[in-house]
Amino acid sequence: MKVCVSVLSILIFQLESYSQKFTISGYLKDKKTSERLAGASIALPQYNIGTASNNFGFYSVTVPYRGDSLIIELSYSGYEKVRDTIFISNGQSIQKDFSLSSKGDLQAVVVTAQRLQKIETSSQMSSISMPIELIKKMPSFLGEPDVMKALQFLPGVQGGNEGQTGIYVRGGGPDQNLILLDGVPVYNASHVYGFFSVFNTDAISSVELYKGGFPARFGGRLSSIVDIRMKEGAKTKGVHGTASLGLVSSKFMLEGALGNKNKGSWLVSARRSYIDAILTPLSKLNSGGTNSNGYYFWDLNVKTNYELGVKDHIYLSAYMGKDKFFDKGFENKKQVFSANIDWGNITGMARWNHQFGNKVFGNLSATYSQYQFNVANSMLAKDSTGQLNSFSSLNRSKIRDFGLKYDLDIYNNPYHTIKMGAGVTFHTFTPNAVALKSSSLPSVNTDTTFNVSQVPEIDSYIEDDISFSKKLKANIGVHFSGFKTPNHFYTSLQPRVSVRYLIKPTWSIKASYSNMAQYIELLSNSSVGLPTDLWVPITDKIKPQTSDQFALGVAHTTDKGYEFSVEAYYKTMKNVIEYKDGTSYLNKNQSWEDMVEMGKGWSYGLETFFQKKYGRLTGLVGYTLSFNNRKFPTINEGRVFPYKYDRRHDFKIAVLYKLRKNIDLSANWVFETGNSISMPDYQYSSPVGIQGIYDWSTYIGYIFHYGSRNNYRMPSYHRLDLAVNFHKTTKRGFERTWTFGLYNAYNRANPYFIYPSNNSNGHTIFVQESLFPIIPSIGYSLKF
Amino acid sequence: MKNKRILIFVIIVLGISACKKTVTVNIPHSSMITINYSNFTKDGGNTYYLDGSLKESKRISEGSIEFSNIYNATALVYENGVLVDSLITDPYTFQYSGKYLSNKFNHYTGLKTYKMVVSASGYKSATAEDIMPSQVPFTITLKSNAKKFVIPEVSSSPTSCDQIEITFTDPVATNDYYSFNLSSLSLKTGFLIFDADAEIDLGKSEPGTVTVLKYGTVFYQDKNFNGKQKTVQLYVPSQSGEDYKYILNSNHISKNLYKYQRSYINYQRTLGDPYSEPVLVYSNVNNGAGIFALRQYQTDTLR
Repeated sequence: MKVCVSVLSILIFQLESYSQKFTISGYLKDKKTSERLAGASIALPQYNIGTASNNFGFYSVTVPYRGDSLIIELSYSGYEKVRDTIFISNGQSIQKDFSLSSKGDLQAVVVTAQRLQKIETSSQMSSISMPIELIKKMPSFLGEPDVMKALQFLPGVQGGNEGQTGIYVRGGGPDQNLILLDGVPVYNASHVYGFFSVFNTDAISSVELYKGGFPARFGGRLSSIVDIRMKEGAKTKGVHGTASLGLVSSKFMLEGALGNKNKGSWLVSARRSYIDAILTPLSKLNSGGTNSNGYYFWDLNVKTNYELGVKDHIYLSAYMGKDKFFDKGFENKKQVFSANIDWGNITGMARWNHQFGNKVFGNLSATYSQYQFNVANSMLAKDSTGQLNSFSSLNRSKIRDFGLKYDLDIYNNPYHTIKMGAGVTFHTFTPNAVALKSSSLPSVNTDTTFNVSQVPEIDSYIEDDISFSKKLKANIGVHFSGFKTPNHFYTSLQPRVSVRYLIKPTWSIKASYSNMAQYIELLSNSSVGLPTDLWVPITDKIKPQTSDQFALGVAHTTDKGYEFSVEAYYKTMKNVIEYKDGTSYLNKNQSWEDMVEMGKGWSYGLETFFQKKYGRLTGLVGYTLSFNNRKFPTINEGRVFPYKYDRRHDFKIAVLYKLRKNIDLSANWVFETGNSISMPDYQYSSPVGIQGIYDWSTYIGYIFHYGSRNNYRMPSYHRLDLAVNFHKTTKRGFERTWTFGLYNAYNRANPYFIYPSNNSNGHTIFVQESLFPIIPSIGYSLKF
Repeated sequence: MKNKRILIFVIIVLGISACKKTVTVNIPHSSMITINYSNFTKDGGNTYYLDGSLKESKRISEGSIEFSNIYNATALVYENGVLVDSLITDPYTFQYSGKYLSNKFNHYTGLKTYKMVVSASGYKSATAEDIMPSQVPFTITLKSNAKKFVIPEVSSSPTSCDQIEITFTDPVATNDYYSFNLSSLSLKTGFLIFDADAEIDLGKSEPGTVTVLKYGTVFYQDKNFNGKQKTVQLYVPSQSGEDYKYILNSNHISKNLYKYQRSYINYQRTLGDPYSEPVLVYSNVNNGAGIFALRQYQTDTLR
């Protein structure tokens, strides 16, 4: 019966398509700053239909003409709801922009869909938006709010080791996450060897994570998409911004209008650490002036946008960041030695939005992304004749992308929102290039820094967000991609489906299937975010990684606004790579293709998520039960073994309590099953004297027996963080905040790694390294 | 160099706030029998005796690398299910080596299955079996100063090398494995050079490249020359003087021995490197540790 009703409904929609129709379209903006609001909800109650604004605040709804008066309701999380009546003249289409007023005091501060759309109504599953305000208020390591670490609080997302910013999503590796900043891939998202991410929260407007049910517009990685958007900059009079002081770094953000008619805006944000301010003088003091070393990082975000007309808008944004470690040696106050290690990302984006008529929205993007890692050494030394000779070396690894992409959003009728697009990316890989220069030995002069490989990658997609009926909604699409290697052109056609069925108005069942392909690999067998981790393209021998993921879930919002969801997933991965037995990523004498092996992986689990969005006490609770395995032809003798980050239980809770109007308290607690590591389980004697087989000179008396790879489970990880924020509005209207935090409040010695060692009696002992004891922090910020 | 510096820096950064403690890793372990056995010949013919040791495995944290001998063990060898040998302790070396020896020489026949069953009071009975490879004669020739190779560990300029050429016919219809080990008391270096050979896969992406081996042993399978006559060329840095000799052991080995040897050499190579992935040394012993592996072999003294 229900199916008949659904079919009938579709037929009615089709019949309606022959009646006179009109379109209302335009942009949704923040009333104060004029920034466009992505994902705001637009409802037409007379028609019982709705839609959402796209990433650039554009909306379009086409409905049959039924009269001159149209009621429209607009809502967006943290903003006052708007209900307006619009006059339609003889069914003519109109373009109308709306401005929404911020509630000022953001109520929905914990992980919410930023959209007011309830979780059970969307066809999208396995995705969560993290409001930047929440990220700023959560307790943080050394008082430095961090986007990537905040994502680790979501179910299905795990952090790597203590303090690291890398994420492991539904059993995937750290290279299987596509991290986008304004649509541009960021290849190394960490500062200070992974302890901080490169994203400055002052410059970020939204963070959205997809861990399954991937819409067809995304591709290129197997496990997750992290879509980070920079702020546009407020179109308000004068210059506004924030300034923050922390233990590790300080930062500022300035924004303002561009031109006189609120046509555009700009934003500049910068951050710099001052670790070197302490380390450098200390090293000079310790060495008696013969040595000086230090470390710092900085990053800079710039963005501007301008309305060329009602239907055209351009955006330019850029990010630059760098980490640098330096070591200098002096002799008689003259520098005779220097060693520098630096690495950093540069991203750039130019975008042109154009509205074709009132139903089609086009977006042309040109992107640039670069990650570069350099080791530079130089030395001055006198030879036996007293002649001063110089020697310098440069070792460089680099990946650089140029991309061009065109996307179209087509709002033909309210039951179909079609997105389609195509793009091309030219990757340039320069792995381990070397330049050597010597004044005395010209024969060593070498330069392979131009030894690059250029690889094109193409992709295109089409997806349709279809409402079959009030209850049944789906997002169906397909993503196509191709990648060229010297003798192959790999292609992949990836179907994507996400379906939602409303059981009751507040209950829905969701299911999804995604097929993904990945053409680049990250070479790293270290869980620490070392800058030496090397991005390399697949080859004729190393094939693209692919995955298939199925997910099934239930979503519900209670009358009081509590959200609850449960999702089960099953993911298989092919051609994942792993280092072979006995290989080391430090071994540069062996080709990386020889050091790795292709195999398969699979993960499955159950994620539960509860969140309370409103009231004085808000918070989230997430629990994940997961299983994560790998299998390779020869590694572990071909047997199945658990992935390093196979964590059976993962429990997280984050709460925020508004004690008074100007004081809020926050706390996080995490509990995770320990990592799997390879530990010897016993030892036995090695063969003695099998002549002609073993060389006596290399004979060793014992063998440590490893039952299998990752056979030992480290102790569980748990940690409590606390923070308190004191807010005050100054006489000049500035908003001042003091933040006091406590990381690892009960001083848990969490295992970082465990290794066998020998004590003074020659006995083997196991040593556990833990990184961070209880660490207090303090921060200050001023918003003006 | 660059990685060292990075690691030093990482350690400094981490060390500022690092805390270290000794932990007990409770891995249940009850001592097992370690079988380390292969076959030997005294006359160079195809009658063999088994030689090796029976020792006790132990917990990692027990420190010293001395392993207790297994006393009063019963070690029996079966050929296709028929008892052919019962090992006895070697009265001269048992105290320090845990050595049990064959009671007699046996004709170990190619392609027959041999099973070793070891039982001793206080231990689970350990078993291991292997298939004896068939007899393959090797023809060896030596040529002095035949070719020059750059051996980076020795010198940046080419080093003159002697050539050892081994010719044999690979049996048809079986997967065969070979191992060649060269030794000499007066070898200048431990390097053995395996010349480019596209038919031999030493686990590299480009099989046809020169490979410098540090352990004097090369081993491979017949995947690309099954059933054909094969000539292998090995090179060693040339020696001067009249008083040196090369001793070449040419082995037609079982798959078990091949797998064990590959993993064991890999294990040796990575000892002391904390950043390398762990190596699982292959074992074919059930309810125990070690290896019971057979081979047909030929020893030649060259020059």
